[in-house]
Amino acid sequence: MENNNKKIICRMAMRALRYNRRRSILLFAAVALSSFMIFSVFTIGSTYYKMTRLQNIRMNGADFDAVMYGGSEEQLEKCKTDEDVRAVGLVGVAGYIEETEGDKTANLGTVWADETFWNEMMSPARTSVEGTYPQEKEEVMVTRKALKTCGLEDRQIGDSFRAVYVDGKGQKKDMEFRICGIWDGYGDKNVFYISKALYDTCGYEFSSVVSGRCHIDFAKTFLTEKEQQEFQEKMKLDKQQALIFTEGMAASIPIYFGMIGIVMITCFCAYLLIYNIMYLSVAGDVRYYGLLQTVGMTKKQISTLMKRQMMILGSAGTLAGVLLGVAVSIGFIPVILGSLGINADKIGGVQISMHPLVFLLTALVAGCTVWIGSRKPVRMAVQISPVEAARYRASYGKKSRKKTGKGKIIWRMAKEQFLKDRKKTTVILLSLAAGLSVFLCMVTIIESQGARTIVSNYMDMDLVLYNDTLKKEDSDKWEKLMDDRFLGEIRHNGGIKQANPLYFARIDVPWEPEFSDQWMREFYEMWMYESYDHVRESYRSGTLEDNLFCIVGIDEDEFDYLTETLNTKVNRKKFFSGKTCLLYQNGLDIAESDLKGKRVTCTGYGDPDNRRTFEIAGLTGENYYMAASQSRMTIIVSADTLKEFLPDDQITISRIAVRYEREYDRQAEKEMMELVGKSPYAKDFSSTSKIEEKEMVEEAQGNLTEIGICIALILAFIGILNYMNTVTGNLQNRRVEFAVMESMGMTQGQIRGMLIIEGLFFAAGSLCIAATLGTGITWLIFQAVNYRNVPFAVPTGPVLLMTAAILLICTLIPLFVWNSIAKKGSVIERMRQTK
Amino acid sequence: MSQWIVKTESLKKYYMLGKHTVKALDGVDLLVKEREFVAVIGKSGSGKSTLLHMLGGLDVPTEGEVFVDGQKLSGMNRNQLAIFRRRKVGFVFQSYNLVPDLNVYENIVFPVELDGEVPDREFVEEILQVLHLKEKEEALPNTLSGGQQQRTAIARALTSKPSIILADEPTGNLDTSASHDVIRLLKTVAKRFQQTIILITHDNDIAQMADRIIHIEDGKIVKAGEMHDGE
Ligand SMILES: Nc1ncnc2c1ncn2[C@@H]1O[C@H](COP(=O)(O)OP(=O)(O)OP(=O)(O)O)[C@@H](O)[C@H]1O
Ligand SMILES: [Mg+2]
Repeated sequence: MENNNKKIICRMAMRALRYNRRRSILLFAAVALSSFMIFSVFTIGSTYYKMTRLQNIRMNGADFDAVMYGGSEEQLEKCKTDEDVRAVGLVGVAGYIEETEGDKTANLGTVWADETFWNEMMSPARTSVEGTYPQEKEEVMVTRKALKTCGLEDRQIGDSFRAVYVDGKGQKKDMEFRICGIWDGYGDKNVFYISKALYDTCGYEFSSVVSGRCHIDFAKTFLTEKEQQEFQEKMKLDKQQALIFTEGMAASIPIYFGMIGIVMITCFCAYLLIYNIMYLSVAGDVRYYGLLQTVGMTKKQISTLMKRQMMILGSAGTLAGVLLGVAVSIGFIPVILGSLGINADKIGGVQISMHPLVFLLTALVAGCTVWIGSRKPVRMAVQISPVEAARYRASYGKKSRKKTGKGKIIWRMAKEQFLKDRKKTTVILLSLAAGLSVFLCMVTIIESQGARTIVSNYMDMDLVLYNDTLKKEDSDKWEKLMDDRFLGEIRHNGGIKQANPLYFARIDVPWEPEFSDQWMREFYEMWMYESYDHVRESYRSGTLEDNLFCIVGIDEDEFDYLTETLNTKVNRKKFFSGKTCLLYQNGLDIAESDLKGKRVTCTGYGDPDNRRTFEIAGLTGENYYMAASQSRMTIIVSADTLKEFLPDDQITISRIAVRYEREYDRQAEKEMMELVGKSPYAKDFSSTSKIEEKEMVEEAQGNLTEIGICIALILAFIGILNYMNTVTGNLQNRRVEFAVMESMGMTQGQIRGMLIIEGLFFAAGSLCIAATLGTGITWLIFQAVNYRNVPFAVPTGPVLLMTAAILLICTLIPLFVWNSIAKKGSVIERMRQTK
Repeated sequence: MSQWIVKTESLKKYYMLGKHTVKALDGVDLLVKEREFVAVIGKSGSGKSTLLHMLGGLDVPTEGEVFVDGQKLSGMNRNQLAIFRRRKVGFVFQSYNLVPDLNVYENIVFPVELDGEVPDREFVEEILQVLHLKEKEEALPNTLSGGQQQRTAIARALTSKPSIILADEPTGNLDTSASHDVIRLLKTVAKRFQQTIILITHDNDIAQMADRIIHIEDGKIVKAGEMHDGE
């Protein structure tokens, strides 16, 4: 009996679905589209999560969240016992291989890794490993790449080779090594892993920042800024030490919030559509449901009948949506992830994560949406009494109105229609506004992101050319790539507005107690692993081996720009007459006020008789002035002063910043590159170009914009479906009414006019909601992701486009539907059709 | 001698129903003079309503021509037809077709307003009075009884002072005395505004009130009555 009942209801459900085909298709489309969105977002989310993890692991060569340079016993102990820390892996830098029997200039680093690091942290970044980690002093774990660097390509596990090993004290040892293992994977592969036994004798202390690398893996996936700060404080780092958190999971939190937001809005839109379709269909079919009760169907059976319909549609729609999602994901996820900052090439391809949980979650969320959306209409259908059904006349106005309205009849009727069923109107407005708001939010944020990512050259120059030879440790290899003739050629080019050279030369700064002693102390503490006290005597006596000083000369343009960025005023006259200089701060812990007014005396390099003294006028932190390699003290003077101070052959140009007549002038850039190409040293140039940068940003952002617009379009599409469905149902219901009005002499133009006005009400209403609520939400989201304090601005172009589009859609759809209705027969035929 | 206002020439309307052809009108030649009151009678399904629809430009004939007030209906497009109906014709249908959104008063003045004109309030009041609709002025159609809806439809047909009133059993829902009152009113108003009335009825008494009676059978006029000048 029960079973028979169920069969009948199931059959009726199928029949009802087929009979209301239009409704069924719309509901199906709604469910399919939204589950597609939900599935895609979840898949993208979980893949993104997996890929960021993988990317972090592979880029870092191991799985860890932070690395501490150096580490005392005490700190290590504190680390290991900290409850937030899951694991601590140690790596010690242990000198290098200078030459091997295969290559005289091998130059390959050696490091020691402890068990935790090698076994736990590194293994996810490794693709293969043969052999075991070195135990004996002469054993090494290698990669094919490292072997190649050493000219030992053909060696296998078990083979031995001779090499000159330079240890921490700089002592060279001719040693025999034996390969005990070969691994492959990601991270730094140009390195030999050595045993603890060798590390202990290499002359390095783990506690020193030069050698010790303490890798920390936290138990939590995300660490907030505050938690990071707290941990850092707990470690009580000394001045040279640094604790660096990998730019990892925390950076992507806003992206996850965004994804959750999209899922929520999708569900909301789908809910509105499902609710509205069901509501309309029940409201239009009151007689049907009343009749079902009259012929003896129980309320429970009616509710089952409707729920069965929704279940069939819901599961079919979800399935279709998920299938579509799977297909689209496979094609598009790599692109999407690329625009979210995952570099597929560098980590060996994107693996799309389709966890069973994602399927389950999609089904659950879509199911819940369908259930919630249809709950109310089902209750409504059940509550219809048979008597009511017999008397029921569509949903035409229930109460009689007091006043005859003012104004043109057509406006009045359109307004009446708009306000008649407030619930329906609200649902449509909300669902249109949701699409609009998402669009608004997307374009606003994408626009602001655009401004955020463009990092331009110093002084916003179009092109900066660098002399790369100056980056070499060995100053004998420095070449004069650019000189005043070269500069002249650049300036001579018609497309060039200005070109500012930075002159560069080495100098000596002799010891004196006032300034250079203090500066060098800070400098050693920050940058050197030797202690200053060690070298102070040799510095004082002028026998310091390393050359740590340089001088740069700038022109007037650059002086103006540079002094703008400083806190203090710099007297222009004194600077250009060679009385004062500026200093590059170089990250040192010295206040400007401590130095200002002090004097710095310098001499030519290897020419102590050529002496010059400058008064320090200020400090700049701008690392454009960071000289060739980092460990140098840089004095900034005017170009003329420099030329007057040192002979020409000691001065080179380290970089030339070029500004084109027209910004982003491709022709000028091409000519500059040709000029560089003609130089015998063409390979030693490097450059940063604003055009290239712009293209890169555009490329990354192009995708993001398209994806954002796709999301907004899908949501807008759901909203439009909703609107279309309502309008169609509404006009279907009113078609007799329209025929009657036509019979009384209403022209097509007047009917269209009325429909357009109704459409305009909807467009205006949804625009109003988007402009208030939508902008408000956009503002909140904007503030949440606005790191760079870009001022909040809604882009006008897209908004105008959106306004035009919604106006068109809202007015064209009713006209279109009406046209298809009005075509069906003469007035009298249409008047005859009753539902 | 007054002029004709309605004229049809071998008017035909065929409906295709599967393989059958229903000849709702099968060659009707009709002439109606200005200010005439014509009653159309005939059996159910004989084609009375169809004829009326043709005269009002609500439907297109299969063959033949309809002229109203000197205009040929077949030559008009949809918009011209709508404007023609609004200005020249007042309909009272078999099933009273009111706009459900509009209340009684608004329904009555609807054609006038469509023309962008201000309704003659006094005149409307008078009609409401006579048709006993005064207290229902602001009611919506779905709260009215059948008779009240029919009276509203009549009031609407009169309000725009059209030259022709086409009424399809306007008193079907009214009791005998009320029907007679309504027809008498219709006649008086028509006289005052020099309107022509073509009225379909099953009620012989009502038909007798007309100037002329036309019999229709199987889509053909079998007896057109005698045309005589006024009263
Ligand atoms: N749209 C249509 N399709 C098919 N046949 C139709 C259509 N409209 C009317 N007919 C047929 O045309 C014939 C005439 O119909 P009409 O409505 O004119 O009759 P009537 O004389 O007004 O009848 P009654 O007195 O019952 O109102 C009928 O046989 C009817 O079935
Ligand atoms: Mg009839």
